[in-house]
Amino acid sequence: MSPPLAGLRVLDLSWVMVGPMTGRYLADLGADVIKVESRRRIDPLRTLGPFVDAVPHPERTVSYHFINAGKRSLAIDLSHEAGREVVRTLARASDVVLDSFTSGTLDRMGLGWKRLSSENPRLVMASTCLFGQTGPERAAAGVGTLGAAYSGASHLVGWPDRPPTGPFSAWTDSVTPRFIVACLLAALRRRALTGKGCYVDVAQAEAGLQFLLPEYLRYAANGDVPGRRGADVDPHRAPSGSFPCAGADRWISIDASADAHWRALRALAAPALDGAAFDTLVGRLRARDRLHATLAAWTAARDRDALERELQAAGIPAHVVADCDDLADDADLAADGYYGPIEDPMIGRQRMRGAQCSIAPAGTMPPRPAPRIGDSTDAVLRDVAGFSDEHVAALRRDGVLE
Amino acid sequence: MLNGVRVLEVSRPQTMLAGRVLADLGADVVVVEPPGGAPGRRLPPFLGERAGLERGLAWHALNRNKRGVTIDVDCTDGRDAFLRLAAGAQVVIEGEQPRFESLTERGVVHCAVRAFSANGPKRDIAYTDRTVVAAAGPPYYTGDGDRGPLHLPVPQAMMEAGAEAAVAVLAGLAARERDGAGQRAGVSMRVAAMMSAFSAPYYRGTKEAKPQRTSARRPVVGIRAPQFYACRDGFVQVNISTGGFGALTRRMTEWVATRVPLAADVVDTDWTRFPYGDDADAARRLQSTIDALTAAFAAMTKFEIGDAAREHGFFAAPLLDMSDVARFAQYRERGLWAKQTLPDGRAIDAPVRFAHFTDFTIESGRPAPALSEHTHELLEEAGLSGAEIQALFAHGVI
Repeated sequence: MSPPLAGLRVLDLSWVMVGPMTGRYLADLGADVIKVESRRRIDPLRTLGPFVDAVPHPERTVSYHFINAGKRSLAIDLSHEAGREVVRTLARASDVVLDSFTSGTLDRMGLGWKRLSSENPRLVMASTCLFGQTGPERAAAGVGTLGAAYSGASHLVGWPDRPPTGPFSAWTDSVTPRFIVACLLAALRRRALTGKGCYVDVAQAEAGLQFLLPEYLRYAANGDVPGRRGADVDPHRAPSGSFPCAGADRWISIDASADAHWRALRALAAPALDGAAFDTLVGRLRARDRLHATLAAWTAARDRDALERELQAAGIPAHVVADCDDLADDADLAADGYYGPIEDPMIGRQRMRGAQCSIAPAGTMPPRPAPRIGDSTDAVLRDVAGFSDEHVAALRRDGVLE
Repeated sequence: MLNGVRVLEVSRPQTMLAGRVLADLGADVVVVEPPGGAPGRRLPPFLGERAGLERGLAWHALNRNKRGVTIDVDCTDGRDAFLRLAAGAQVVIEGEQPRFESLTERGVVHCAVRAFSANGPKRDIAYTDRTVVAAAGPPYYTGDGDRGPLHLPVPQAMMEAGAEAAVAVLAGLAARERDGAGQRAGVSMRVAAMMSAFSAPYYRGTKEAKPQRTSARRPVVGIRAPQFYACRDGFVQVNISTGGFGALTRRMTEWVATRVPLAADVVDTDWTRFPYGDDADAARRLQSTIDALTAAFAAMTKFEIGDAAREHGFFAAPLLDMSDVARFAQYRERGLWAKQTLPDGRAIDAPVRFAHFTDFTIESGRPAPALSEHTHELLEEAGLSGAEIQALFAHGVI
């Protein structure tokens, strides 16, 4: 048995997150993913932390490992026409090409879909940028924080009495890759049946909107323009929220609105939540603020982890509001082997996740490190492009290889 | 794209987006509900702010292009009816406590979308979308530090896991078509939602300062630059980037200096290697840039600021509300929208075309199924007679 995409070759021309994470999905599913990058025009992701030992260096960022795990790296200067010709040669030998340049950039380099597919009609290519390849604003550059703003997400998160806070980090960067991977896998299936290649164009801001559809329809169907609701994101549920626990900035999420969950919580907390006003859902909704304050007073002195165990044992939907340390070490994540060790010459032994899903019996790839810049340049040029040692040496002499 | 692929989706909130993505890409997706309706029908918001099994807008958004059947899969006769349908299916998707995993032995790709890990201590705990998202990390870092964690107002674990499951199913299908064997795919909603925690799980052991719950950027020379600025008609999101994106910040300071006073040496700051020089000077450069942006944006509309950012090439964006999204020319002219019919007969523009292809178009082919809309037609296709179907109905099985 081998992973679903074993034998598939992917040329990954993308940088930062959406394109590279798309490539990582394919690598986790067994594809040979070649990351094309440059030392001179470095992937900005290599400048972003966290860095191991807090020492900034392009080969020390865990983010780069997280987003590029399992790839090989080819370091090449694409400002040289000879470098572009190398990419065209590799694209002829690839099944998939990924890019995340703003619209038009690849065409100007002679690396656009029309050119590459004319040389390799079976090619499946995906391009992704903030707004996609068409439309009046197609040439706009952007990152996931801008995607969050344009998708409508940022407007929806924050306290009503304060400026918005937006969702965490570069939100559309996490949302978008799954849509691209699904489209690529569908296109590859069609290619297997028909021999036909395909071009896939995904706008990151539009992908973000998919995760907000209920709120979009609230506007389109009901005419309401939703705004920031603070912590009160589901006004139909009570109690439901994040409640403080003992210690600094410790929180537990409890959602005990359903009758059985409410009765279990009330029994556990007795007599703190007694009171006829809280007997029924309608009562709890009408006294929601008081209910939440009463529950918060009960949780405030309690140890977060012990409380989580008690609530879960009583069948109540509850979980600590996980911070980065909680995410690093959790029996739930350990059980299915989510994390595994990786070894890297620059950062030593570190913890890294494997694939986002399990597939059996085919299997997925174990956690792997990301490549160092150019760690496979020669191997790729020899084995994939079919270049002789002399040819590779000449490219290096001419400054095409980095 | 996925012509000829029959998918049975035993509906849970976390399966809905998976089935919809596959249906949008051309698969024949059948959503299987209990006779009382799937839980996804009870997710807010509701059409016209009135409750009803046909009025759920989340249901409507996430079940288009599917056909629907009601079967009580917990009783013997319902299980039999389901298996008859499954005889023609390549894919079965279920939520927690899956019932049909053994269909992999018959060559099916089975995907189970559980809340937590299949073999872990939390596998059977009660959950809601909110508690799973809390377990995934983003809320701890969303909001303001002096107040509690925040969530997006749309359940995100079901979205993240649904998108993840679409990938898992298609990967399983690729292995199935290669090996001729069924595949068991597993997705954890918690793991799927951890994607939006980005690198947070990897701070431990790096000695880096951990992320904070704030929308402001990481402190540079003691100053946290805000990310959101008030403008005349709302807010804009702005990145004062350094390092790899520093050149964009330079373009932004050049632009802002044309609108409000900004010292020439501040405009000249090299943001790619900022901060440099003594801390007091670096702090002055950053603070006067923040002050200039605050003053310039206050006099402009959010769309004017977005236009300026795109024209001059820096990172600033208007915070669109849903009415802005609906009228944004970029989305409209690119062809994001297609008409979708609501249960009350009105047609709205829906953001149907989440991807564009050289020779395939995502269509808004059929609206989400009404409860049991295709039960008769599907069971007939599966070989049951009209009398048998009526008998199943009479017994409350369908």
